Amino acid sequence: MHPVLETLNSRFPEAVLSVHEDQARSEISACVAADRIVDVARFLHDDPTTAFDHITDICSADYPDDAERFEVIYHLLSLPHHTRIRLKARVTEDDASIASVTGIWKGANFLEREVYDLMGIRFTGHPDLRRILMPEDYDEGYPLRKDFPTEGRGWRSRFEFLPNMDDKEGGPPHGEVPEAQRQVFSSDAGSVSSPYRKEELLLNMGPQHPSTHGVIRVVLALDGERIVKATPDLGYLHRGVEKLAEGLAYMQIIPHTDRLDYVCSMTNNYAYVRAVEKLLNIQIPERAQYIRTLVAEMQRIIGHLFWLGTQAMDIGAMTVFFWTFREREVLLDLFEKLCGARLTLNYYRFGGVDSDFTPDLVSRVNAFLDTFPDRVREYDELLKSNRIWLARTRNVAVISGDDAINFGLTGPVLRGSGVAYDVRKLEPYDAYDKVEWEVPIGKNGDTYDRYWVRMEEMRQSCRIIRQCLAQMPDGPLVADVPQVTPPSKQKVMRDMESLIHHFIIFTQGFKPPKGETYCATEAPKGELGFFLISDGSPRPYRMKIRSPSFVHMGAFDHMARGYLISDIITIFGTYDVVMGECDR
Amino acid sequence: MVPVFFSYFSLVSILAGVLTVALPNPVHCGLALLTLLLHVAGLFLLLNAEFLFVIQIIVYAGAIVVLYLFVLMLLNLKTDERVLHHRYAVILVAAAAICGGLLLMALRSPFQGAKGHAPVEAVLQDGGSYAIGITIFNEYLLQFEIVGVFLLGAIIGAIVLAKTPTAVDVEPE
Amino acid sequence: MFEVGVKIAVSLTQISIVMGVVLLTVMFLTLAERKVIGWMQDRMGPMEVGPYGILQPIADGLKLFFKEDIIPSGANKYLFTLAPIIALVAALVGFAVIPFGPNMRVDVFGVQVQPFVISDINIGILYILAFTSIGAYGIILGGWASNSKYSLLGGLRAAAQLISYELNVGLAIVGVLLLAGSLSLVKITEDQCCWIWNWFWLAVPRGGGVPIPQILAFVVFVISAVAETNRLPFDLPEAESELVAGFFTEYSGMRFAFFFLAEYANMILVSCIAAALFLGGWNAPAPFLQFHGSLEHLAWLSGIMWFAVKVYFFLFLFFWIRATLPRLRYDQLMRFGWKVMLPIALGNIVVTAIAAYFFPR
Repeated sequence: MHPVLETLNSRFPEAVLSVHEDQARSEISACVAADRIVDVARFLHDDPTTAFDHITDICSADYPDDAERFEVIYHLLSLPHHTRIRLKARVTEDDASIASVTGIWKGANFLEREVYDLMGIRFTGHPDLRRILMPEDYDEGYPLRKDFPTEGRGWRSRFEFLPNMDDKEGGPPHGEVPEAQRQVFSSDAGSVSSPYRKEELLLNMGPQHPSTHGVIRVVLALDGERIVKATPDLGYLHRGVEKLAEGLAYMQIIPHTDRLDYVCSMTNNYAYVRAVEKLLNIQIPERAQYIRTLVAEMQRIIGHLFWLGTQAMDIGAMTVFFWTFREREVLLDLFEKLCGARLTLNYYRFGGVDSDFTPDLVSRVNAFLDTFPDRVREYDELLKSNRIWLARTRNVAVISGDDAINFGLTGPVLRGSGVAYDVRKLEPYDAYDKVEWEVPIGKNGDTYDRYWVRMEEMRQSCRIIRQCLAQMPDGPLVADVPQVTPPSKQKVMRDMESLIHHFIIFTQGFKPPKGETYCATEAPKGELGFFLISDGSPRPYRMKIRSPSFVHMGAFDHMARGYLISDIITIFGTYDVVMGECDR
Repeated sequence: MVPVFFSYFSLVSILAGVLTVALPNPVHCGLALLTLLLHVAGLFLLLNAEFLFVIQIIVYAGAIVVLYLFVLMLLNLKTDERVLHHRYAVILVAAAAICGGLLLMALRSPFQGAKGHAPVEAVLQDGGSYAIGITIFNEYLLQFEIVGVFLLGAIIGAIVLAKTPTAVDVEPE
Repeated sequence: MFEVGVKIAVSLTQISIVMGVVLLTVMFLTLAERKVIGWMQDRMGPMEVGPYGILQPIADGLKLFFKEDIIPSGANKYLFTLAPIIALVAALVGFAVIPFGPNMRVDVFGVQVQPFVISDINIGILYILAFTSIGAYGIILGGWASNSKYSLLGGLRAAAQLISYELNVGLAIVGVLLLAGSLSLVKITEDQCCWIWNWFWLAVPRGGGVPIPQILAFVVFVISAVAETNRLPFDLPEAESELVAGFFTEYSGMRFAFFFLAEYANMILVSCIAAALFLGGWNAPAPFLQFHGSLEHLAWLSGIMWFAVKVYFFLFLFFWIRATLPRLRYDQLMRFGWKVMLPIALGNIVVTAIAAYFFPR
């Protein structure tokens, strides 16, 4: 048995109800009594032999037929030991509450709010248990419960905060804020603790604002120009992808993942198909592995180019934006050649990829790689030694390595703080262990370091792509697993049995074995994880998307406090959030 | 030409001066003050004192009234918050006395006041700035320096007052 | 009486020519800016209206002219209308004292006039400073009268920035004034004859002697001029990623166009001042670089040409900076103005004054 499970069993004989080790997928999980969850979690976090310092995800599943209906699932990661564990705790419908672990991992704040919002499980001791993705006045239940219809129950917001223009009588005078609402904006006159006059001002930023990168609203409490508290208000782009997925066959979900992080949709496809492949235990042919790796790295370059352009434009360097889009255009043209689409690509398939990487594409990618390092140097020349850029990014939005881990941050944001955690190195998949590359890490955890990390990652991506192109063998593009992969188009057109096979796969879907698995992939923004529960039917029983943007927004307040209002746009930029992924 | 301009500048100055204290909206008062200062600058121009004309605009219109307006706009004062001081009669008497004294001095000066050492011809030849420079830095050098020391004191005082206290500590939630 | 009539007629002619040229330059400056920045950013800029988009400014002008003119509810109507006019007039009157060409006198019906400067007054440079400071009122009043928080904050920020950097502009030119011994732009320019090193940025005296270079003042002046015209990297009042459009958020149509014209006219004005004060105005870099010999009588033409070259150099610099630099933060902007620019300008005055006392020109 896995040593961590042994430790748990011996340490908490009565709290740990059962343990499970999944040899095939090398995953471990433990069922814990709901009332002891905090003790177990604290032990796992504090004990040096376990040291699960990173909270990856918290999600929930609904089993309406069971006595204890809801299951709260914690995914933990130990960075020192490189192990993952899944803790599960059951609660009943009558008393759907469990103790909060926000005291152990600060990142649990947003994750628990999401569980509360979508599944209705209360977390006792949570500092700010409100709805997060759904509107705050949403009152028809909890959407992820199995008895909630996918199309909803027809609720519409009444928008009580908007003045009603038709109602002339008794309403506030035109253009004036009524006295009751004014109170919200004025500071509490009773608490004069500081000898200096201190007034807090509430400033609403968004949902429509040029530099919020999508539709998000942040309420800033200001002391002068300094930010005292920043409260992100998410959910403007919530589409209920997780709920939708429960009604779709596995293959039908791939195009939906395109719409998560629409800036780099390939990586979402990638993360999803990898999770399903892990569930099915499929081996990928070698050529497909290389193609997947190199396409994912091309997508990473696009993601980082997009980030660089928008961040620089927010800070006022307009030219960088146009230059990065020039290079992005070249890559998008390549994607168009590769799979016919430019933005929502839908390219990855279970067991392989959709179409081949032709010699023409190889030469075009090579031509791009010849010029791209010079282009990156060009951006660097405009920004890296520019004193204004340094003044705007150095020591802005600093987050220490320990805090970053505690908040569950991943990707360049975590590496900028000096933590060398990269899923591609830690749990290498496809061709990442067959090529040489390095993980760039920063020192101070400020905006400049994250800038540097991403610039360096673009260079490393170039290295990976170059090696992939050189090493790519010939071979099939899709694994030969007849239960899952459809036959090739040529066969379908000529062969009766193949046509039937094709028909079966696309009408009924395939049936993965009963089980559950979490699979993490390194997206440009951080760790993009898919957690799948299969009940043996062709549709996932529960699919949870662990999106880096959402987890990163949980640390927004921590990162923004004490900085100036003008820094808010820098902080938005340095996170590289995409709201399509954050709100799902 | 000169009498026409003079009457325009002086009449508008008087009107703007009255409006400065009479208008209900503080921002409008500030603008009336600005009009007043600009027209007084026009009077300087009529006296061939171009330097004073420009300095009046740069210093008073360009710097001081701008700051007044800043404060007025930031405070966003309401127009109906004007109250008469309950001892305004006393203030009125004092104000009338001061005004009368000033008026007396002003009316007397064309006939008995000091004429100065810079006749119109000299000013026209070398320019107003030259004449003022010579006067200030020769005759009134000591006074000029004293004013300079006063202003230095004012600047230091302003720095002490405006120095922001160390960042207000943010108490944890 | 006849003499006054001729003088007025000549002045009116000069004013209309200068205004025509300035407004035409402003028009095509907007196109030039978009083109130049477009090329720097690997794109083409406007291409649709006319060949290579050269009629774009006319299309823009027509659009602004016919656009609905909105006065927001709750705005102060008169001040809202007055503000853009103040801004534009303050920017345009400054051109009255700029010498565009050599200081010569022409006989028109027996009256001596100076053809290349509208009014050669002996406080020229102070006159310009006075009217730029009036321009700040256009901005603050526009911001206040719009009855919008973004406008008010943008207006106050813009005015604060303008006042802070105007101080630096004023102090930066004091060194030049000390060297020239005059406030008249005509006389200052004449003093910088004839070689490139006689210009005040190096300030080698004409007959030889100890140079008292004003290059620091020149740098301070150019940086402060960029800040005073609210251009990148100092364009915080209009930083769209933070404050929407600053003080003219609520403006539309011709009123908006007035603010826009004022901004570009100010750019041209500060370029003219920089050229006249530090780069010798209409003086050629070397005596043989202007018309001489048989073309002596056309020397004024080369003078105007050299002046235009210098002005366009500064305008190009404005575009170039905009395409290159990111934006400062507000506190950094103020700190830079008061803690870096101001001490340099003051130090320059002290050094120049001492040097000018010991090495009189």
